[in-house]
Amino acid sequence: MKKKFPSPKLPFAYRHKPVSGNTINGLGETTLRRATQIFHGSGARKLEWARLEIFFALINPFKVYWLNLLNRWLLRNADGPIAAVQQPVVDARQKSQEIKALALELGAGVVGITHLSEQALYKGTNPQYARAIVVLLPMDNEEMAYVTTNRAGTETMRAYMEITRTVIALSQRIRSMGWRARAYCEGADLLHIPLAIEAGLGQLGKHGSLICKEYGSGMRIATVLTDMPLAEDKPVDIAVDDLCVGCRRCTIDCPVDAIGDRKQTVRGVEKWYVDFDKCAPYFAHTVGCGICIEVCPWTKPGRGPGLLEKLLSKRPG
Amino acid sequence: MASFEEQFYLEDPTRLQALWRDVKLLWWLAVRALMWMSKGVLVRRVYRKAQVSGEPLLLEDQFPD
Repeated sequence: MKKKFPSPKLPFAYRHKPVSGNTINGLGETTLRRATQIFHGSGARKLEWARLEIFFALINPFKVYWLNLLNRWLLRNADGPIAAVQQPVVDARQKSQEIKALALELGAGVVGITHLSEQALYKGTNPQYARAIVVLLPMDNEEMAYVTTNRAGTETMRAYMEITRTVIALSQRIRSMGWRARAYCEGADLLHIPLAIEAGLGQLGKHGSLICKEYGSGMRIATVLTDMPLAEDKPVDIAVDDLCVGCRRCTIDCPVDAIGDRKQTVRGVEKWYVDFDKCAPYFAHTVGCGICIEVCPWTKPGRGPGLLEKLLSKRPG
Repeated sequence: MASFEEQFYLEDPTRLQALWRDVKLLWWLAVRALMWMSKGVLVRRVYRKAQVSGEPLLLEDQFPD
């Protein structure tokens, strides 16, 4: 049975609408350039959609807001002292395996490693690290079934706190080996999705979020940036496009029609794109929305691996 | 304006620097908690009224430049 979601008619509006997020971030542009922060900023600059962001924060239920503040408190340990003696890395491949095993031990669900690419950096930021260890952590699907309510918003923040603890602990362990490492989670000056794709953790779905084999889109992403020499993973083809081209679940269920049926050119790259101007206000009104990731067939627990096998078997040849 | 990262992420701080960072962060968090409890109460009240009346709340009225 189709779930009923809050009406797309919003009880708030602008007297003068901000500049379109789609325009700022290059919808239809054919030249490669970095993304610009417009919402969910780090406080470094006034964002075009800052009013909506403050509004979103203040209408959030106390528990969600409180968990967000607690997460910020945890993040003070995102960087810290580095051991004076550096453990040399003789075999980068073996070290990668060790670091991945460590991340899993610390609570990560899936881990991948890649170089820190331009695509992952916003305009005006310049983190000085060589590579990224990207971590995924699943959310509780039973709680996320309550998307658009406080309950799902609380689960999202709980997952963020858990993944923050994981990447902080991982960064501390790397620093204890004498290498620079800094943990990045929610609200950071870093685009986690392009890094996760480069690290072979999944592909971009029609709904603009990462789809990974194990959890679909029912997870959160965080990253540790480091200079430690590590073998890097390669992007994977898990047949996400095969699914998204034909599937219309998220496009149909999105109350504000923010999800299109075709890929679009954005800053020189053809990809799935979500209409920011339609998505963000509804997102703010519904405790972080999440309808598209919840209804995605891949997000159903345990379904991913079987779905992948089925999609690949349908490919010609 | 410095970002959250620039303000509170310290590479290799001394004990005193770490302590001062913690104090500044606690202040930063307290300001936000107080904002939710003061300005937030007003915004949520107006927001509820807008939901009932059908007359949309104008964001510029709540958050002037």
